[in-house]
Amino acid sequence: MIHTEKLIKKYGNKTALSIEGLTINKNEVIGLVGNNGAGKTTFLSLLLDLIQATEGSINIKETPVSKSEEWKKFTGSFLDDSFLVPFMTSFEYLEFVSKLHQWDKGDLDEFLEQTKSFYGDDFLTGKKMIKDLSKGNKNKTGILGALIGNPEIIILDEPFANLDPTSQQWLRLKIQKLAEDGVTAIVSSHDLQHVTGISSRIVMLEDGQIVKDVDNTESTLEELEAYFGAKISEETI
Amino acid sequence: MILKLTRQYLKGKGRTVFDTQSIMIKFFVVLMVIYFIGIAISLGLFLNTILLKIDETQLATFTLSKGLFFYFVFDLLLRSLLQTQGTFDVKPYLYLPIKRSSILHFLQVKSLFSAFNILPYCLLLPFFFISVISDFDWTTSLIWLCAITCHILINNFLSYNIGKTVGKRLIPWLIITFSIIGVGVIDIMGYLPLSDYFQEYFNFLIINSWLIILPISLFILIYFLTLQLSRKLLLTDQEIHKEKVSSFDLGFLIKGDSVMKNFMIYESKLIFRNKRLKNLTFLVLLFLFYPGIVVGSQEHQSAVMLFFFCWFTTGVVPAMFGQFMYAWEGKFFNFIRTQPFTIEDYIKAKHNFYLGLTTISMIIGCSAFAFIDTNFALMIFIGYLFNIGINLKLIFWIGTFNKKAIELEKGTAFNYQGTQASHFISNLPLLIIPLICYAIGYYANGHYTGLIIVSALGILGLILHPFLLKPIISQFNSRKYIMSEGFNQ
Repeated sequence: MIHTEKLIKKYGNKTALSIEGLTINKNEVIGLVGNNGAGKTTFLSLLLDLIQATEGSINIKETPVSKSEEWKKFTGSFLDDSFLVPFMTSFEYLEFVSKLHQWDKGDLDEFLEQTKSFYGDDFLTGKKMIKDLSKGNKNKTGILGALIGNPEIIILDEPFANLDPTSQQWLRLKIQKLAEDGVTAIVSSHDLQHVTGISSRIVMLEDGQIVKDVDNTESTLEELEAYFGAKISEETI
Repeated sequence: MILKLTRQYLKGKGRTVFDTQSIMIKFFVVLMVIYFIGIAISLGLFLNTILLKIDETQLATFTLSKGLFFYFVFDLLLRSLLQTQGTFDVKPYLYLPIKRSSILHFLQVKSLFSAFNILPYCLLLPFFFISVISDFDWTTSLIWLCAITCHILINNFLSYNIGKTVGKRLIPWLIITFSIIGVGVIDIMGYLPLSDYFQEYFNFLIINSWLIILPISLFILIYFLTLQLSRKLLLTDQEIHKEKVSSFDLGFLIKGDSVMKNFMIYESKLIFRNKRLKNLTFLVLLFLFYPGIVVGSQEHQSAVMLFFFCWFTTGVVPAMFGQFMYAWEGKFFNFIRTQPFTIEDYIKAKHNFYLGLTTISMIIGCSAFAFIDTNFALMIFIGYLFNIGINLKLIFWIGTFNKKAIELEKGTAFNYQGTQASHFISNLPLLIIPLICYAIGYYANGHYTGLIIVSALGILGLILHPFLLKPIISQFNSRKYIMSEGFNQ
């Protein structure tokens, strides 16, 4: 589904990301983990052609993302606030996105009915513009936007942050269900519990390089906790 | 404590305002400041002579009192139009161990350091040293200065209060602005000689020094009233300022249910919901009647200037909106980059939207001026042809060079954000090309040849429209990463 080759992103002399090769297969759920500055967001931005790779290439369905715009039709993404239109209400935003995906009103109504337990009661009827919403509600709007259009690929950066417990649970179940239906997902998160809860494969980045690329098994969570925990030295506590 | 806050504020100000602006803008701003100060000082130096010419029978200081009335009214009007309300973000300080009252006092004191409060002294101090001191003793002179200062400060807090209570609501703002204008008009039309009353009050105050208590206590009163209001706003989490979403857009004008239509509705929301763009729309409306300035004095204007005035009626749309074509979307550019539409659709939709706006301007302009002078209407129409044929394409090209995201919530007045030196230069072709084309034709063979050349170019642009779109799209594609990177900073 997604294939990257000798991918390098440099800012000035500093290498932010350097990945020899990575292939993501259909209906895999990739959990992207790593501390701040590891290159997670850089990697996701490269996948979405938001920044230009210094070297190497990214293909989605055998087509380079920087050459074709075809991938936009089947890729849903939400990385941060710059994916939201600040002067629209949540409903207007979702309506706009659904129309860009050529959904009719019926499609959107059905989608909103299905996702009801993810967002709260007055979420859609509210008259607040997105820029005035709380972080949690902004996140919900963005995640819903990424799910519109029945995407084949979903790319989310820190989706669990600022969500309420119910929404977190819903999102976990939703991603798992989508994967069963054949959707490929790439989700970065600092929350190891959540990320191991949904992923079929864990990719760990450190200083812009992949240091771990393993199938998610029962012991993965413990291993990850041990790995990140080992970076803490006793005397710094 | 207030000193510490001031230092913090200046630090922030220094980092944001002066660092981010190009040297050209700094130069321009400094030049403007020097220009205004220069005018004020020279006016102050000659004020005595001017006032004595107006009325020889009394001291210049007494004559000035009448003028002060108009000054204070005009000052209040300008403040309500231009003065920006405290943009200092107090939130981070509320959690620090600083007394809330210190923050409030700081905000109030900070509002005193505005050009509106400082510039008058460039005029008043020369006058003070030249005539007031020579006419009165020192105590009276100082009382005079003190009284004026009190009134300037009263104006400052009055407009501060108006700004805070009225906020962004249009209707109350219009009511207040027109009432201020009304006060001036009532006096000028002679319905009520308010300026004479003010003159008498002020002169009485100069003679009876103890009356200075009056403006001083008025100032203290308004200072503490403002303090109370600010405290209330601070506690209500500035909920008052949050806007309600207006449901107005141009959707009803646009037929069909295509991606194109939705994009154009979105574009109209962008304009009607954001302060900076609303302000620009207001300016565009004003410029619709731009040729009105020269109506009646056509004979004294050069033909090229006349053409310029008419051309600008519709040329203002690409000139005002165009320069930040993509930068408006800077804060959510990643949305534009990842949603399922092609760049071609995106640019076409934008193009059609501005085509619509320019056409509306043309229709209003033409129909208004057709009654006054058909030649005006003709020139507006031909200017319009050029604008939609050439300029509207040019701005999509030029726009790709802007890589500073625009903050949409801030107003236009004194807002240089996103304006770079390269902008002035890149916008020049928009202005100059049609004028040169017209001038060549005009000086070679007269008015109509000029118009024919301009319209021919416009029509050529319209015919070549599909071919001109291609280089714009490839330009956008070659600049997209640079724009993204710039907008994300």
